[in-house]
Amino acid sequence: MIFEDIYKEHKNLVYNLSLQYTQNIEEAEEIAQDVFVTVHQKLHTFNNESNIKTWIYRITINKSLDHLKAKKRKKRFGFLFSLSNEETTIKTTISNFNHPGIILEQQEATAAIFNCINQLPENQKNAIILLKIEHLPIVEVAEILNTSTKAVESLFQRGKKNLENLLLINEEK
Amino acid sequence: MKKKSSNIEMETVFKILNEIQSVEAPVHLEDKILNRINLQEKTIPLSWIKVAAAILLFTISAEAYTISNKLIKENNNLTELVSTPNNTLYYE
Repeated sequence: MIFEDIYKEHKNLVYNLSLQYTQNIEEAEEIAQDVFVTVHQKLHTFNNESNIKTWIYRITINKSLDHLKAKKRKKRFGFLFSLSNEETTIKTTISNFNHPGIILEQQEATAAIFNCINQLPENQKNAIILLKIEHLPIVEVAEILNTSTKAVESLFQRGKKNLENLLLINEEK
Repeated sequence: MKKKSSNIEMETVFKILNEIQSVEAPVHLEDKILNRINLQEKTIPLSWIKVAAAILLFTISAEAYTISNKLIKENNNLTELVSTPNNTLYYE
């Protein structure tokens, strides 16, 4: 298996999935780089019996979630630092909504939805993104998340309910 | 009634998400990835650095142990050569 071929075949998949998690071009690019560097490093350990697409999906999801966690930690640290030293102004990395796949008229509404999706627990967020944005069949989602189709359905239903509540709370504000 | 209206809202939400279009990955992405891969291949892995440091530490400590043992031995030989004076008074 040649790395160049894998890149050409999966570059859009990785970039778009990273965009769904970060909603930011620069961050999605950063994640895509991390994903393909990892693919290059671990390609010799990849078991040919499993699907390479599933493997790449898993790496992308893990890298995206790790990136978001690191960003959260950085923000929290920046906040604490600014509390201890009021004179110092720290430029915290504020997530700028910059998703090229969304038409201009839908930008505001989609940003509000993503704001709520980002507050969901990781597994529920994964289920919603893979089923409703990536339009993957439930069997494939179950394979990627290494769980059963029933569990994916349950995750989606819980995610949907929580998303609804979060949207209602945001609307009330 | 309330449930029905919130269901409609969720349908709209998923409709909006459904309209997100897929985009092409930027052209410069491949170059950036290849640069990073090349850079990683040129740098010495951390595990190798750790192994080298451990070997160096072991050699230094072994050398120090040998030298200290040698000094003690030499010191003992020297004390054997020098006669110890007997200052005690005694009557014949």
